Parts: sequence; C-alpha cells; structure tokens
Amino acid sequence: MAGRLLLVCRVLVRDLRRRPTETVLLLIAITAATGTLTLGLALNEIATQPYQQTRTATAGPDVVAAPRATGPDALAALAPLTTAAGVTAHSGPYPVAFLVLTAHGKTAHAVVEGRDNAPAPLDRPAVTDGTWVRPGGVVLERAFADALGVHTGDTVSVDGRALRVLGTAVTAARTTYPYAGWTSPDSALTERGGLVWVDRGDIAALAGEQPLSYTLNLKLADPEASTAFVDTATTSPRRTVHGGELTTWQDIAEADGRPVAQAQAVLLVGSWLLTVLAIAGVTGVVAVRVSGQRRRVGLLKAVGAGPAMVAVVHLAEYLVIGLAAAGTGLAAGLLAAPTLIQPSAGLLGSVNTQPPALYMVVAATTLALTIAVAATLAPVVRAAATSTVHALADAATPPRRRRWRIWLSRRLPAALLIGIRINARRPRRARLVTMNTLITTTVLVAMLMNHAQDKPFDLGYSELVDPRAERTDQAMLVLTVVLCVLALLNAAVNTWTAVLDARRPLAVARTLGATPAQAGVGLAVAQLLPAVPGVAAGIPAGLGLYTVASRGGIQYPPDSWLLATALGVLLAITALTAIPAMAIAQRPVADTLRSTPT
Amino acid sequence: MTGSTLLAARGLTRRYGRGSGLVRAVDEVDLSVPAGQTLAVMGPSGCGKSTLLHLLGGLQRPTGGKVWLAGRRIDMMSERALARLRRDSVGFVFQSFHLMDELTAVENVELSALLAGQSPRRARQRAMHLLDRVGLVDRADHLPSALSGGQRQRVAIARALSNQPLVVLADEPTGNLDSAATLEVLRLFDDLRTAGQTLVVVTHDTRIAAVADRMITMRDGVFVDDSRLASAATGPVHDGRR
Amino acid sequence: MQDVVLAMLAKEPAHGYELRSRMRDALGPLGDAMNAGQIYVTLTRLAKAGMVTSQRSEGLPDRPDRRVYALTPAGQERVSSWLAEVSWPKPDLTEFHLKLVAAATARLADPVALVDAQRREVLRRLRDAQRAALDRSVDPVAGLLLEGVVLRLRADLEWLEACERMWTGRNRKAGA
Ligand SMILES: Nc1ncnc2c1ncn2[C@@H]1O[C@H](COP(=O)(O)OP(=O)(O)OP(=O)(O)O)[C@@H](O)[C@H]1O
Ligand SMILES: [Mg+2]
Repeated sequence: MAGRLLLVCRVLVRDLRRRPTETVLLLIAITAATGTLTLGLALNEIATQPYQQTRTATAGPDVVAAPRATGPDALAALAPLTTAAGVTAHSGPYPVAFLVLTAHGKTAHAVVEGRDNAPAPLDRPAVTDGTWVRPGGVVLERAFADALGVHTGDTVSVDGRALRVLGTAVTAARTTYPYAGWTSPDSALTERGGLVWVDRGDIAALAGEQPLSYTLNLKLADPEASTAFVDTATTSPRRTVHGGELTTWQDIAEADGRPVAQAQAVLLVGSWLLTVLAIAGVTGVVAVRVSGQRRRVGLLKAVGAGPAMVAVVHLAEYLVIGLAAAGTGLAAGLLAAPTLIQPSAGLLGSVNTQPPALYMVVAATTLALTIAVAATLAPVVRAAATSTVHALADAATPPRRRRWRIWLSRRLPAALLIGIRINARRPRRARLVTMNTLITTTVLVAMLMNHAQDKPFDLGYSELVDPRAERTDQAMLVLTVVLCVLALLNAAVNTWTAVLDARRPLAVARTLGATPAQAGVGLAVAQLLPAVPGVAAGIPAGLGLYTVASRGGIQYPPDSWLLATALGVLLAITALTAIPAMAIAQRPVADTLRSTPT
Repeated sequence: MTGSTLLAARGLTRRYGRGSGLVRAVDEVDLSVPAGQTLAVMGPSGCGKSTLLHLLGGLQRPTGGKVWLAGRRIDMMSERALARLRRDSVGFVFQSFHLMDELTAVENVELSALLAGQSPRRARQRAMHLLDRVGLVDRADHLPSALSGGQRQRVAIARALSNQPLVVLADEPTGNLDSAATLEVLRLFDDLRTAGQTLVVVTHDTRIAAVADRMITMRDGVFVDDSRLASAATGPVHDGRR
Repeated sequence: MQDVVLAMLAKEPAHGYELRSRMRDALGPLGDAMNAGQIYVTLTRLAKAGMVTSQRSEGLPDRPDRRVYALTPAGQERVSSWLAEVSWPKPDLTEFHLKLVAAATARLADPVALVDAQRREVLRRLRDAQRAALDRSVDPVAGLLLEGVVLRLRADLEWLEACERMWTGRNRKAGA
C-alpha cells in the first residue's frame, strides 16, 4: 500500500513540476470560480455581522413599536405594551416627526426623533463623531451624513430652521439610510429618507403644525421570540397596535442587509458563470495534458496497473490542484471581501471574515473539486478504459473528417479553406471556444445593461447615491474583471493548443504552396468560426439574464454598444490567435515537419 | 533447461475489421512454450507478430481460441485479473522502450514492484539490483532523456524483470537500436536465457536467433516454420564464403 | 592469404609461429578455425616466388615455424600494391541463383525447398557468428570482423527471403 501511495505521489509531484504553466493555469481557473463564490458568500457575513455588532454596542431593542396614530392616541396605544407579558425593559416612547432636511444645497427626507441627553436603557445610539444631542443641535445617522456630505460642526436646516450638527451616530433600532421609514403625513406611503436625532424639547418647534408620531423600544425576555411576541400583540382581542406597527430586530437586520443582497445575487450568479468558464478552461488544459499522458496510461497498464489505479494516478493530480485552488480562492475571496464591499456606514464595526465560516470552506472546496472532477473525469476515464495496446501506440484521436466542410472549403479562398479545415479537425475544442465566448459576451452584455439603467434615486427632493446600486456596481465590476481575466486565459490556452495541433497541417499546407500569411490567417479563422455563434448567442443571453435578475422597468443599451461588445470579443480572439499563428508561420516548414510526430 | 509448458495457445485468432476489410492478424495458431525456453518469433512486417505477443500477454483479447499462462486461462480473465497477471507474471519490453519520461531510471524499474504493493525500500533494493544486472547502476538517477537508446532498453528490460515474471515478452526490442546497442541487448537476453528465464521475442531482426532456443516464422497470421535450434553451439565458425 | 602474410612481415622479420599467433589474434574466434599448416604452405610458396627469404635461427631445430622470415624487395613492392588495391571480394550468389533456376526448369527439385535449406544453413552460421560476437571476452578489433560477418549473413538471409517469395509465387502460379 505504501508503495502504491508513493508511486501516486511521485508521479503527481513530478508531473506538476514538469508542467508548471499548465499547473498554474489550472490553479488560476479554479481559483477564479472559488474566489468569486467565497466573495458572494462572504457578503452574507457582511450583511449580518455589522448589524449584530451595532445591536450589541447600542443596546438595540428587540421590538420597535411605531403606531400610525399620532399624538395622545399613539401614546395610549403604546402604554399597554410596556407591561405586556415577556417585556423586560423599554425606552421611550420618543416623539418622531417626518420633516425635510437641507444641507449643502441638497434636500432629503428626514425622520426626526426627539431624544434625551441622558442615556436610555434601550437604544443608546453609538456616537461615532462629535457628541450626543443637546438643545439646539442635531445628530445625523452616519450613513445619511455620509450621503449628504455633512460633517460635525456644519449647519443644516430642518424644515427651514438652522441647526448645528453636533455629531454622527449609528443605531440598531431603525433601518439605516435610505430606508429609515419616512412616512408622508398625508399618505400611508413609506418613502426613502434618513434619520436624525434632536433634543426632545426641540422637536415640537421643529414639527410645527405636524402632529407628532411616537416610537417605543421594547426588550423581551427572549429576543428570539420577537416574532411570536409581535403576533400575540397584534392579534389579541385587547390589542392596541396593529400589524405593521411593530418591527422586530430581525426585520431591521434584514432590511439593513438589503443593499448588499443584490450585490450578493450578482456575485453568486456570477460564480456559476465563472464555474462554467472554469470548467471549460480546465477541460481545455486537461485535454492537452491527458492526451500527453496517454502513452503513460498504456505503460502503467502494461506493468500491471488496473484501470482504477490508472484513474487514481491521474485524478489525484487534479484533485490536488483543486484543493490548492479552493484554498487560494477562499483566501482571495475573504481578503478581498472587506475592501471590495464596505459594510454600510450606518452600522458599526468592521467585517471580520477570518477565520472563515465552515460552510464557506465546504462550499469553496466542493466547488473546486467539482470543477476538477467534472473537467477531468471523462478524459481520465476514457484514458483508463482505452485498450493498453491502443494507448501505448499513443495514437491521438484522429482528427475528424467533416465531409461537407471540406466540400465547402474547396470553394473558398486559401486562408478560409485552411481555417475551415483546421476547425473541422477538432470539434470538441471548437465547442470550448463557443462556450468561452458565449459566457464572456453574456456577462459583458449584462454589465452593459447594468450601466444602461439610469434610475433616478429619489430622496424626496434631490438625487443622492443609492447604496444598493453602488454595491451592485461594485460587484459587477469585480465579476467582470475576474471573468475577463479567466476568459482571456481560456482563449489563450485554447489558441495555444490549437496552434500546436495545427502546426503540422499548416506546415503541409505550406509545402503545397500556402503563404505564411495565408496559414496565419487560416488559423485565426479556425478560432473565429466557433466564436461567432458564441458571441451571437451571448447577446440575448446577457439581456435575458439581466432582465430575469432585476425587476421593473428595464432600459436597453443602444445597439451600437452591443455591436461594439461583440466586435471587441471577436477582435480579442483574433489578436490572441494571430500572434502565435504568425510566429509559427515564420518558422521554416522543414523544421516543423521534422519536429512534430506524424 | 526447458521444462513443463508455461505458455500455451490453441486456435488463437485475432481478426480486425469485417467484410472486405477483414484482417486475420493471427489466424488459429497453436503454440506451446516450455518453461525456460527462449522463443524467437520472426516474420515480415505486418504478419501479426505484435498482435500475437499482445494476445499472449493479456494486453489484448483474442477473437477466438484460448491462451493459458502457467495453466490458467487468460483469454477470458477480467480486466482486474489481467492487470494483476501483468503485474506479477508477465514482463513486457517494447520497441520504443515506453519509459516514463518524468521518472529516473531506478524509479522506472521499481514501478511494477510498487504497483505490486511491495514496500518502497524493498522495491528500491530490487531495482538497484536489477540495474546492476543490466550494468546501469551508475545511471540509476538519470532521466530517460539522458540515456542512450540501448541504455533505455536495458532499463526497460530491468523493469520487465522487476517482479520475477514467469515470462518476458519482448516486441522488437532492438528495432530502434543501432548495431552496438543491439549487441548490449542481445547479451542481456543471452544472460537471461542462461539463467533459465522464459522469453518470447518478436522481431524481424535475424540476430535475435543467436539467443533463441527455438524460432518460429510467421507469415500472414500463421506459423510457417517452427525450428528448434541447437543450443549454444560453440563449434568452429566459418564465414561461409571462402 | 599470401598478401596478408607478406603485409605482416612488412614491419620486421618474424618467426613463423609469431606470424601464426598474430593472425589468430586478429581473427579472434574465427582464428580458431585456421589451419595451422596453411601459413607455412603459404610461406613456402612465397619463398619460391622470391617474395620472402628465410633464415635458420641459431640453436633451434630447422622447422618452418622456427625460421625467421623477411621480405625481399619484390615482396615489399607486392605489399604496397596490395594496400593500394580496391577490389572487393564478391559474394558468390550467381551459383546459387543458377542452381534454383536449373532446379525449377528441369524439375529436379523444389526451389523453395532449396531456398529453405539454404536459409537454415545461413541462419545457423549467422547464429554462430552472433553468438561468438556476444562473448564479452572477445577483443574489440576481432569483434569488428565478426560484425562484418554477421552483417553479410543478414544480407544473404534477406536475399534468400526475396528468393523464397519469388519462387513461392512461381510455384503457386504453376500449380494453379
Ligand atoms: N487496430 C487494428 N485495426 C485493424 N487492423 C490492425 C490493427 N492492428 C493491427 N492490424 C493489422 O493486423 C496485422 C498484424 O499487425 P501486427 O502489428 O501484429 O504486425 P507485426 O507483425 O507486428 O508488424 P511489424 O513487424 O510491422 O510490427 C497487420 O496487417 C495490421 O494491419
Ligand atoms: Mg509489430
């Protein structure tokens, strides 16, 4: 047993060392997929961790009650809640007014809450800059302040009254900007807006005519039972509050995570696309490797290795690469997560993804191994199952003969003729090219779609940054960059193998009188032919993907953009092929004929 | 030196293709090789020598007939059993050596011992011993690319001997070698013959006859001649044209 | 044979037995087959032709192998012209070829059987020569001669195979 293990390890290590380029290519391809998946999963943490930290730091309530009624009615509705079963502590009720805030010429909805200077037992907003409320001053929720560009010491006006900004703070009792829950006094509609705090004594003056609303923070004996508490409170016969007027901390946490959710969806969908791309890339590399290893398969069998042993020797290599790639992908994703995707400024704390959660490790490893196995199993099994004699003869699968293409190509100019025949030789490789361009184009088009969405982000009166769109854009950018790198790598590998494989037929074509230029162009044509359907299908696929993933009014990018994308992809492939093709076309024919096996 | 029958075939047949493309690579041949015999199978290119050897070693399955090795039918064995057979009882030597390029000479030799589940230490000892036997201990740590053709073939022979096979099957072992390297390999085979190793060599190199006890001539898949050669004639040698 | 003996005397005069052992060394295993008396017969003929002279050595019985032989000027000349000569011994295939043709036309024997018998004989010789060459103790210079013999015999075998193919084809046609 030890001997066989030694043998497997030895062959594995030697093989990895002998072909460093391919090893690195495989690592990169699988890492790209696992890294993106990790990034997507890490966003989960980003969505929940900061809220938890903020909730702990600010003594966040378990349930927040905000009746739609105003004035004394509201206070009457809230009073019984403070003594309801399960409630262990409360703070408030605090008066709330839905006003308009103007700063630096920008106007936005503001939920104004009146607070005492003394710390409350529940919901003590954590001051991140400056001081807590005093009469005559205002404290802004940090994300809101950031969006407006307001700093401590600035002056803002609330419904026309100038107030000094005393500081910024964060809370866990209300969803952060822009979902603070601004309710128009004359309609029940909730609109976007940010939260500010003023002294309890100042709020009446600020609200003016507007009746005050009230909000009450409750602490429960069992925070996990918050939903049950809400159900009982809103359905009991003696209820004073109605459905929708009580909010649990879980609801707030979910809402706070929402800006990240779309970005997460982008990355998760993206990681699937990358997985396909990675499989395509790995398949390409593995096909080259396994065909190089065919003779070894035969030899192992001749000295008495069974099919299982042969498969193990070859699979082990890719499993090791897969595991390594899972590690690097995990590390890359986790390292990149905090810098690429900032947690909301409306929450406290940093995202800490180290050590990674177990499920992330499992997911990344599973994905990496799946890619490795999916791409390698078929060729390895095929190799292990070929007859020993056949494998020893090292007969590469003979090129396919496609009658109609040969017939067709006879009627075309020499370069096209060469291209079509080379293309017809290796249908599987041609399919990889199609797949590669299909996915690249799909993502590029989806990216374009995202750009084309010119959604106004209405904050009552002026347009501010939408944190959700901002994060989606970030995620899209990350995805596009990773994907383009991977696609380029795939294309490079594919071209490289195509060039190697076509060396001999090209040399023969040249002995028959084809010029180097015709040979080079022919090779480029061979790579372009399968790319065209990929690009053509990628455009509707990208449009469709975006349409399915996003809701509501979609705007389409101009046709010229789509056309430019398509041409760009094709151009990139041409350029990638042309360089090596020209290089081999420059070599003397006799050299090629001598150095390649028949 | 020869004993009971080690390798036998009855009505052994291998056909390729069908209809007008039918090729009878091996056509109902009967064969019996006693233990310790060195058998040379000769014949023109394409007469079915390699196919015969592959059938005898369980590398290929016959389309008809039976093969016995050490009294066991091998033509109907499972793939697993065949793998074990090749590991334990048969050593192959090929025209193009088929060494693993990434393994050193000694690592190539110990390959089958490791596959057979021997401990790495014992496998290494045995491999070094075999390399010594083929006169290549000083090249043990060289990669095949750093060895000459004759040396590679000797490494391959050492590998074939690794598990003390019942029979060594060699297919054109000198086909890629020049005359000096051929001599090295022939000497090695001669030593094996003296040591009583059963050996079947397929070739169209008549020099192999020098180390054979028996020579079979094949043509179009059938045996046309089977001559037992006087063993180790050391009498006067004439060059035959004076 | 005469030329070889003359050339061996070119360096310095030598005893008959010295000449003989030099020959044997150069021929290696093939030298064993050399007839001992042959060299003295040759020397006697050369002396008659005036190519060598011989002297009795002191204190030794007067036997051909104890005499010291030396080249005469005529002998010297003959050695030089021998070295410059480029003629090559012809393998005598004609006779065997004609044997086959005669056998076939006169229906004396089956040419294929003749070829087969001849092939066995050549094969046996090849095998002996190759065996001799395999011996690791063979002097490399002598081994060279063996290699030449082997190569020649292999060529003969190939030719015999061609003969066999030809005559088998003829037979078949004749039979059909
Ligand atoms: N896979 C195959 N499919 C069809 N025919 C085959 C196959 N393998 C071998 N043959 C045919 O079987 C016959 C015998 O082949 P084999 O390789 O055994 O010959 P050989 O005597 O070893 O020749 P050589 O001396 O050239 O190696 C040949 O006519 C060959 O064309
Ligand atoms: Mg063969």
